[in-house]
Formats: sequence, C-alpha cells, structure tokens
Amino acid sequence: MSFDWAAFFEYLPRLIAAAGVTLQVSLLSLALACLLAPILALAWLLGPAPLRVIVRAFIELIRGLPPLVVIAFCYFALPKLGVVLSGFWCGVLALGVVGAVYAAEIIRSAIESLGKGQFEAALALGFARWRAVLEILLPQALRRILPPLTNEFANLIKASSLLSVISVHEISQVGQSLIFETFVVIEILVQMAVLYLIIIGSVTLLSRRLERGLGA
Amino acid sequence: MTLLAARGLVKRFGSFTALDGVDLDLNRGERLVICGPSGSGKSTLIRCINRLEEPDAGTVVVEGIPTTDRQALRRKVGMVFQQFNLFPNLTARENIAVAPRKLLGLSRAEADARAEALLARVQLAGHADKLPSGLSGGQQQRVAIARALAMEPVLMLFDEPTSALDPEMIREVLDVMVELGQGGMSMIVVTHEMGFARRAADRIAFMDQGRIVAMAPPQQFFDAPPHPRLVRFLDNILGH
Repeated sequence: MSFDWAAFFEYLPRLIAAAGVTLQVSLLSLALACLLAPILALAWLLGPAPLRVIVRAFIELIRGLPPLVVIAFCYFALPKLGVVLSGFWCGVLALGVVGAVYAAEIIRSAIESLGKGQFEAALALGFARWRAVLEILLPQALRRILPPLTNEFANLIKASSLLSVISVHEISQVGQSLIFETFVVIEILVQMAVLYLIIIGSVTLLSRRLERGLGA
Repeated sequence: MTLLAARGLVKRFGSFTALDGVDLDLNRGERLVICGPSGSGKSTLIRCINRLEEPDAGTVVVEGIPTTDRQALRRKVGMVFQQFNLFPNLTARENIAVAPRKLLGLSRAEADARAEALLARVQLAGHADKLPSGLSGGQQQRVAIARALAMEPVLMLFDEPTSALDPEMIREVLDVMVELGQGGMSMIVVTHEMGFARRAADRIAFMDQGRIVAMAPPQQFFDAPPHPRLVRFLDNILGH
C-alpha cells in the first residue's frame, strides 16, 4: 500500500479548517457544560425537593439517551417548539447539555464523598449552604473531579463527530465528504485521526497540568 | 443576664425521640457542661441551638440575634466537633482565616493576623503553615477551636471535643477550654470528662431519654446527685 503524500497535502488545508470548527464547537460546548454542571450539581445537592426531582429526572434522561438522539432532538424538534438554531449552535447546545449532565454527576458524587462533617463545619461558621458547597467543598473536591472530568471532556470532543449528521462542517463531516468525493481514503483518515489526537491530547495535557497544580 | 433561652425543644428522627421537650437557659459568661448516656440527646440539643438540626417544635433565642436568620446565628455561635472537621486542603492559618475573610469581609492580611493571634492563644504559634494532616489530633482540635473563635462568637458549643482524641492529648484541649471559660466565654460543652466538668463548669446538666433530668453546680452534682438515674450514671463512669 502506498501513501499518497501529494493527496495528503492537497486535502490537509480543508481538514485543518474543519478542525477549527471541531475546536470551536468543542470549546463552546465545554464552556456551556462548565457553566451548567455546577448549577445542576448544586440544585441536586441543595435544591428544594421538587427541583431535585426535576433535575435528577433531567440528568437521568439525558444520560439514558445516545448523544446522537440529543443532537437530532435539538436540530429537528426544537424548531417545532419555536427555537431555531443553526447546526453549529445546535451542536454546541446538545453537546454542552450532554457534557453538563455527566459533569454534574461527577461533581455531585465528589462533593458527597467528602462527608457531612466538612459541610457542617462550614455551616457552623456561618456559610450559607450554597456558599459552603462552592467555597469550601468544591475546592476540596477539585482533585477528585478533574481526572474523570477530563475523560468526559475527551468524550465530548469525540462526540462532536456526530454533528456530521446535521451538516456541521467539522472534521468527520468534511473528512467523509472528501473521501466520497476523491476516494482518497487512508490519507484522509490519517489526517482526521491526527487532528483529533492533537485536540484531545491538548485537553488532556492541560488537565494534567491543572492536576499537578492542585496536587502541590 | 440571659444569653440563651431554649423552650420546649422537640426533635424526632423517625420514630426515635431525641429531644423530648427541653428547656434551657444560659447566662452570659456561664459555662454549662452536659453529660448523659449515649443517645440521651446531648448532641442533638446543642445542634438545635445553632440549627444544624431543625427542631420539630420549640424555640431557641440567642440574645440579640433574630431566630429566622440561621447564618447570622451561626456566625455568633461557634461550634467545635468531635471529629475536628478541619478543612484538609487548607493550612492551619487558612482554616482559621477563611470564614472571617469570606463572611466578615476582612482583608487577607487582617484575617491572617487574627489567625496568627488565635493560634498563639491555643499554643500553636509556629504551626500556621501546616496542613491538618501534619498536626496531631490534639493540635487539630485546638485549631478547630481557634477557627470557631475567629468569628468572635458570643457562645461556644463543644460536641464531645475530646472523644476522638488519644488520652495523652485530651489534657491540652481541655486546658485551652478551661482558659477560654476563665476568659469569660459563654460555653456549652457536651463531654464525658467529669474532671473538666468539676474544674470548669458553673452548672452541669444530666440528660436521659431526651430530657434534662438534673441540673446542678458541680459540687452538688457529684456529692449529692439530685436524681437516681444520675447516681447510676456517675457510678458507671466514675465507679471503676
């Protein structure tokens, strides 16, 4: 089998552009997940009973669905409810919500694993419940949260390949259509793999750095 | 002058009645020791005072603090736990400074200065930069006392503060508490340390089955126990 370097370099710029889209979708959905997850976790931990039930049901629902179904729902069903988003923003929303429920679960369990004594000590000093969780418990839990969270975020980036079904021009979509257009298979698959590895590798590296910083 | 007035406190956990109608008054500067068999409601009583437990019935009034504002109440009522519950990711100094900084708005320098002064007061000057894991149990508990004092409470609650300690460390914690009481701090101490009760308490309360069944100054409490169940209790813990 010969590797066609000419073809490799010919199509590389289009895939790099697509990697830019993958990166944008991933980072924006990560940001959304990071914003939503602590809110969901706090609501689950501290909310009044009815809110807790709703939040848990929502988390279980999303966790029970393949991300593809969530993406399809955002793209095809939301417009019927009057919310019309581009494929790109649908992707951000769907992946952000999927990432958020998994991250919320990670945060919640890490905080609960700290034990009641830490929470009560903070309350006894006069911290409000939510401040006790955010300012006293969460910093302690970070070291337990970060490794599984990194996994989750890597999954999220990989799941962005599913956005090819709603025509977001990210790596997988562009790669696939290039393959069908040109029948250059191996070279393009290698490019796709390398680009994903670079993106996911950087996230993992960054997280290791953070972990080391926290471990000090 | 009354600092604390608790009336008709009832607390149930499922079918178990932990507090069965407790009245309690504490004067400013008074040191009260509460003892009694396990499950008698001692811890529940002081946890109802700072509302870590919400009583099912009854009221607790701490002078000058609205009963509806739990955070305000807790800022003025310090608590020391059996298991210390220091924040393991923070140094001794940070453990003490975190609440004044975040809740009272002290600057980092002010809060740190307050922490250093309190560490010196509990004989732990020079340990400010240690994490709890680098301190002995007795040292951790003294940091926990300093942490509670940092909020400048009007009342200190101690929930079996020496029960988790090795015997040789009990003394150093009790000494700090005695000194605190001599300095005029109002205190309620749940403990089995009868030596401490005799030495430091103004009154001793004996609880059984969710009620305060006897209350007396130390001398009368030990020499002429005012209740038959108390006689049995004292026999059990002092008799051998």
